[in-house]
Amino acid sequence: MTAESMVHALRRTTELLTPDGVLIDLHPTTDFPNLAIIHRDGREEPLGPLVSESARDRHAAADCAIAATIAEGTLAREAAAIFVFSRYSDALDELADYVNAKWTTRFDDDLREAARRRLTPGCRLRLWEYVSIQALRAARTEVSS
Amino acid sequence: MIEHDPEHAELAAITAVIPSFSDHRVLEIGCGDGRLTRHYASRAAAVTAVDPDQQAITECRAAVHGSHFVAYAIGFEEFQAPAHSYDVIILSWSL
Repeated sequence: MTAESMVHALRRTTELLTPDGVLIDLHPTTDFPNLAIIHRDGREEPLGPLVSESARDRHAAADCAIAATIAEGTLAREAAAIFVFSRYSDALDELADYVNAKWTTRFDDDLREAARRRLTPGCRLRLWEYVSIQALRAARTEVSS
Repeated sequence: MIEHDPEHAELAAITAVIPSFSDHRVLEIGCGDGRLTRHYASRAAAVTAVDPDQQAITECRAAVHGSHFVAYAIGFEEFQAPAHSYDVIILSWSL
């Protein structure tokens, strides 16, 4: 989806919202997702990012689209925050297959091998990323008397 | 089995901006398998969930119950609804 089509989608949402309605947008930030091993003793060992320029470009386009609709006066930002979203798995191949099936990002073979070398009995894998949440409302046009 | 957000960070972030879904008519765009939908649907007045992935919609329908809930396997660009139909619209990782 291009930034232009995202702007179009955002404009459509304002048509579907009630006048006091709220639009919640959730999308990952432009930071790459990160892989880590959580060892049985609780120690977390970072393994590195899952690099995807296309995913980063898409998230940047989402940021631009929201900024554009605010700048044009369609939407007004009411609240914004960033949180960490994590996925956990006991099996490296399961996690890699999930990423390759569901994401535009490829689970890099080098990262998979690096992770495989560090696996310890009873460990878990954590794949985490930063996610942006924004609450937006249709901007109101002030009528002067 | 992959465990998604067991810390419920996503739900906490949403709750921070919408403390209550009570009596709200909600449209969720990009609902996927209903991972998020199932957490708020029972409190909303009506929920419409859309996602272009047919398999995901099948899983979403299995996860969310109630006559006030409908799910469609279509993209947002194809979705049609009257103006001012929703109190809350969630773009769920779909931009």
